[in-house]
Amino acid sequence: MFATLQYFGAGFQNLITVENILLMFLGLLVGITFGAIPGLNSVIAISLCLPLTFNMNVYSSFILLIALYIGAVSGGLISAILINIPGTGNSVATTYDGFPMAMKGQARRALSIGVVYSCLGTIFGILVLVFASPVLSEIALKFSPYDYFGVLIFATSLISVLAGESMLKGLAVGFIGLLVATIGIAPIDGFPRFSFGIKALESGFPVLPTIVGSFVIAEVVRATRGAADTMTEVDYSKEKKSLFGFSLKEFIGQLKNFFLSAIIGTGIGILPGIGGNASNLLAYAAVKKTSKHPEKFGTGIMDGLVASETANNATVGGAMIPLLCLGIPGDGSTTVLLAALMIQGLTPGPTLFNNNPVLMYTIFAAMVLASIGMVIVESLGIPLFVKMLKVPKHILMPIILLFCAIGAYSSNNSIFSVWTLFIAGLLGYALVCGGFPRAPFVLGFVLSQTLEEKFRACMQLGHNSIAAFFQAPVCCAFIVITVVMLAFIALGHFRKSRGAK
Amino acid sequence: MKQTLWKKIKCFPDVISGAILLAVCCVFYTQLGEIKQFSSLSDSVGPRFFPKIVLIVLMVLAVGIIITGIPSGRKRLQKLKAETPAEAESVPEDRPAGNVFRRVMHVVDTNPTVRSWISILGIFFFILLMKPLGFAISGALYLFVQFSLLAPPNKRKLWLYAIIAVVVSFGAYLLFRYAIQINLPAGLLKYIL
Repeated sequence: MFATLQYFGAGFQNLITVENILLMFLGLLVGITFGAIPGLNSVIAISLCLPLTFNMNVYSSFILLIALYIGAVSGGLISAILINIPGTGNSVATTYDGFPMAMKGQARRALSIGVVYSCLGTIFGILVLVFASPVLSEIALKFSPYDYFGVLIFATSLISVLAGESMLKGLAVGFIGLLVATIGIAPIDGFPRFSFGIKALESGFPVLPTIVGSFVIAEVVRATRGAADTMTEVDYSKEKKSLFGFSLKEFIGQLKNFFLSAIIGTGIGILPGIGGNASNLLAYAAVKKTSKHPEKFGTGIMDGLVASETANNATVGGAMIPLLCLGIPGDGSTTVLLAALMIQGLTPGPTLFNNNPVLMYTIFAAMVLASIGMVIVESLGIPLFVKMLKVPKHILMPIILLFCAIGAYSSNNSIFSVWTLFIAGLLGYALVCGGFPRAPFVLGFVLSQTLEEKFRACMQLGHNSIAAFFQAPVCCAFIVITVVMLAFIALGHFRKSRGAK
Repeated sequence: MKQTLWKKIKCFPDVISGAILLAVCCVFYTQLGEIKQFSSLSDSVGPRFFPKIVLIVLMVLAVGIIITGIPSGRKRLQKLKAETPAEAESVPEDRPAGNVFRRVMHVVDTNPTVRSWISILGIFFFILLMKPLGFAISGALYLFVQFSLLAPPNKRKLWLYAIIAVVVSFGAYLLFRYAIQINLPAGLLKYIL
């Protein structure tokens, strides 16, 4: 413990220079901007700034890159709350209660809650990273494809919690997400599927334009129709100004939701291939499921915001665990961070932990500093963000769409990504018109590839035996939990519909 | 007559969505055979297996949506029939006098469905023209059309929208192309810049 604190102290000492602090704030500003513009994300921000670090020392380069990462993950909440369009896939669930809260004239409160819980989520993830990473990474390494499949099948079943009023519609949308993700190259053997003779479709739909598109086009078209919820001018001038946007009593009341979401976020971060795109939705579903008042979710309550923003930022700490302890990147952002480490001549893994503990703790300290800096930057920016709402919607919405198109294009420098934005947008709009929820689509789409990959790996390992799934204890436990949960949810819906009759 | 039939069909939104979903699933299902897989996997779990499972479940769900949508649709239909003929009859619209442009704008302003279709088409053409015209020009045209369409009729300032559209689109293009090094399509601008 004492050694840990000593290393931490040395880490902070390495970082606290005027140059590094300026770099951190620059990284945060750029990261938050990239996160807030729908279509741009942390991967693009870090990739674009990576060449700048070539001539920097290792400490400066890491404070910059980590500030970009943390800023971009958190920045998505701004557009999610203010215009109902998630800046990145990490903030999809933030729209559910953040936007209704803003529409009630509490945009400042919603942003403050989001910012504070983003910081707390990041710090929770860092604490887990510091104190439990060696143990957790060992457990993650021992995870068999069966165990992984068990976790994934449970995560996928949470679609039913996000289903909303109609279980049938919610499940259908979740399965549409699973189906859309099967378009393109199949995992394991790499054969193209459902390309319908279109070359571009052979590589499948890119993730970010698909997620953002399913929201942005629907919002622009709804605004065109003059839908009340997007065109109403809300008076924010009467909103009470407070430091954090919530009271101590509310904070204590949210502790359960915070810890549940933080654990889900960190856990999802540790497992490669899922990431923040899913963790915010999974935490939202879990908090809703365990809430005493699930019917209030989606009306602008604090619980939903806490769940989403805590989980997506806790995923940052979780994702750093396999990266730093094992050298395994779990998502796009950590892959670029791995490249940055290697450029500096460092190979992450157990040896780095043992041979250069000060460097590792400097990275942890950079994460702590960046998350505190994020609160400062975003809190100072809140009045400015709220002023953005005063821009007439007929000017703001098309400009947002223009930036989304830039974001989609930049994800792989191709027009096909912009078409993806459009196609996903049409689908999102059709879902809204048909009274279908959009969240299950995102969850199904994000989980599909990994779910199929692990399922096929299990079938190959077990020579096509379904019994093998029940012989792996972790997998079996998750399957049982999933079945019980689904039975309860179905029973609840059945009772509700009987009661309504 | 056509309008009445359309109104009746619109009473069954879930049946329509379920039917569309079912049709899409059938199209995908017919494509399953087109997916290549190793011959040794023909009886096992190949690249066709997972989409097949997903499609079967989706088809069952689509049928479920259709079936559960019928009773609620019938209720809506009865409600529609209960409306008095006078209520059901469409009220003739007051058409503004003036040139064709004014008449077209009147239709656009009073009809949300027309506005949303123009908006979708606007986005479609923005993407379609992005390569030949370039991001900046295509974006400026899109912004101008969309600003004008979204603006409340009594507050429309076309000259201001034109300026904002050009400044934002060209500004974003220059910023992302030269400062952030994202190679957005130059189109016609490649002859100038």
